Amino acid sequence: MLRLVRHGFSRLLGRTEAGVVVSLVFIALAFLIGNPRFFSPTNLQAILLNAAWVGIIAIGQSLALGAGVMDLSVSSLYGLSALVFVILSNDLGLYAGFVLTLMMALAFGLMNGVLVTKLRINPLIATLGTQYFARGLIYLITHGFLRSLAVPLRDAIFVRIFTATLNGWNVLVLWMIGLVIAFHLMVFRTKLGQDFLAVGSDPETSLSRGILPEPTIVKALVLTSLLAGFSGITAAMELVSVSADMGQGLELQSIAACVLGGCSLSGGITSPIGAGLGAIFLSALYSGMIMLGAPPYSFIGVVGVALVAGVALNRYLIPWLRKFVQ
Amino acid sequence: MKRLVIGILVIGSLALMAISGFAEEEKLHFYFVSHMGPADPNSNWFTTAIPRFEARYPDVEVEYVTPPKPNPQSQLEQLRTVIAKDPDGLMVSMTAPEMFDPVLRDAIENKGIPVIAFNIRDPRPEGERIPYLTYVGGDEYLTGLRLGQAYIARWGKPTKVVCALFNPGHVGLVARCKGMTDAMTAVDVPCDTLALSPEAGNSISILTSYLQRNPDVDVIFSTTTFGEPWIVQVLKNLGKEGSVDIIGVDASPTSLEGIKLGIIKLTHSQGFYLQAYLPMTLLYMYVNYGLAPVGDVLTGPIVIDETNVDKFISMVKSVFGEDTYEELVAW
Repeated sequence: MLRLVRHGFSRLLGRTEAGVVVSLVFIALAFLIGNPRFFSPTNLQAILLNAAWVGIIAIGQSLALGAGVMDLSVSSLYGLSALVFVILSNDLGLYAGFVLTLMMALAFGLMNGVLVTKLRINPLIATLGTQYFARGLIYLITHGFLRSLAVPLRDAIFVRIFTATLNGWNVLVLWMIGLVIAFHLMVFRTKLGQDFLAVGSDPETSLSRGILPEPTIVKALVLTSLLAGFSGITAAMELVSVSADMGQGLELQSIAACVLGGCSLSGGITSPIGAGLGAIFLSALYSGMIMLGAPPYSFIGVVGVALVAGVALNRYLIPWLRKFVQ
Repeated sequence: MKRLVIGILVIGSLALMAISGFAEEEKLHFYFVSHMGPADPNSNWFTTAIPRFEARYPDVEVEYVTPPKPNPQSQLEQLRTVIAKDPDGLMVSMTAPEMFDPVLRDAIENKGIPVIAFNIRDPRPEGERIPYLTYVGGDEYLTGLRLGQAYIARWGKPTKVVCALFNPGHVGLVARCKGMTDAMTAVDVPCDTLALSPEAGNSISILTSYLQRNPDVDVIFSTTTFGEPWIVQVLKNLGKEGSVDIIGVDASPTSLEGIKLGIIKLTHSQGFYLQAYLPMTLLYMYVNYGLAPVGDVLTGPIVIDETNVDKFISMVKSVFGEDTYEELVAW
């Protein structure tokens, strides 16, 4: 029995996501002791809803990181997609708004891909450029004002598919879980996913194995943009209003979620499940600090410390635990 | 003959250039150097007021200069660039007075450029502050204070208030929270300042946790217009709609219609149109006739509730147009 438990722990600790799982358990216990209301359904619902938006973006970011590139444009694309969806839906209807917005996101992904692979611009610079470009478009369109989904559209069945609540739990959380599982399987069970990891590990070696790095990177960036666009659309459906600053900072949050979840910044190692869990960890951390009564004006600093501690745990404690269990 | 035509054309062109250059020389050049960039809807008051002023005073050209993001360092860079053009007058929002001090002091004292502070003043006492002609704008501290006092006068003492600070780095919003806190502590009502962010998901999650931990909060002061729909969303999720009052800010379509619909109890105007039009007029009077203002000009806060909201709706519609106004309502 003991051997079985030890074997189970050993397997868990051997996984890429071990660090974020241990971190989540650790903060959950700490917050539970600090304030049991942390686990109230309403609070968990808010944590998971926020995690869903960041998490869906982080899934895409994990694909890009797996393929050895980083996408900084996701934050602005999230905001732009929300805005474009609202404007197009108000004029052309929800279905057209949804499809055309995703097409726009796809175009942004292709643009990122072309900049990185054909023009050989460093991915950080290329996607930073598209981030500014997309944000500029938001400013140009909104002039800083809120834009809102027309009232008759807010309760449409198509909107409810993404925003309905079941006993207070937003279905968007189910969407995130579904996407996490689907993309995790894609990464580890399909040729495309394996191509991402091969290119991310070493583009030259992957080429010798018949995998073309350039189209693979383009595909990863397109998927990343599509997921950011989808997340933005669902946020617009849920929040009904879009502000000019919407999404700011999400590019770094999505990267942080990925790193917490075990993705490597140098490519070749990734985990969509880890990225999703990392997003939940970040959202829980914000919420938990407030629940613990951290000073409302300085808790963000505490969140930063906890974030670094989470990554350090991943790096040092997990290998030690692994050895200990073995 | 061909040479004669070319000669006439060349001389004619030169004469035209000289005349237009002379005409250009005749015009006064004023600049707004503002932190309110394209993401800030309030920049529209300025871009609306400028052509109206230029139509009234055709001998003046006014340019509105702003960094793409409200960053004092970028604003300082733009200030330097504008000063290098040797303008006839400057209007500057003092987002970082001590950072701007050496540059503006040099412009005022050594280059003789008259400066008016607008929207955000240099809070230091006269004698220490940048020697600008005057300040034209609202008072962020008074905004929080007056809204808090107006709420108490109308609806009595709340149990607990939270100031939702959607941009913790913005000194103006911090001052609004300070004003609200002072209004509440004066009547022994606790008031927290909650640091949120311009990102909806984060803010909703944090505010939900905060309200769960502090169930006695019955008034939320939103320091920005864009945060108002998020607060409503949180209250809806927590089943607290109607039991928690919202105090909003600004004469924005969302805030004004929020009052009409009973979603928001109070909001305010800081007289943005005056903040835009008046500094240009004061500069014009000073440059042409030496009429120097003798004191600061406070354009707000003016508290808006259901008794005077219609007047403000008419004014905002007259500036932005009826269709745009309707498009910008979040409810």
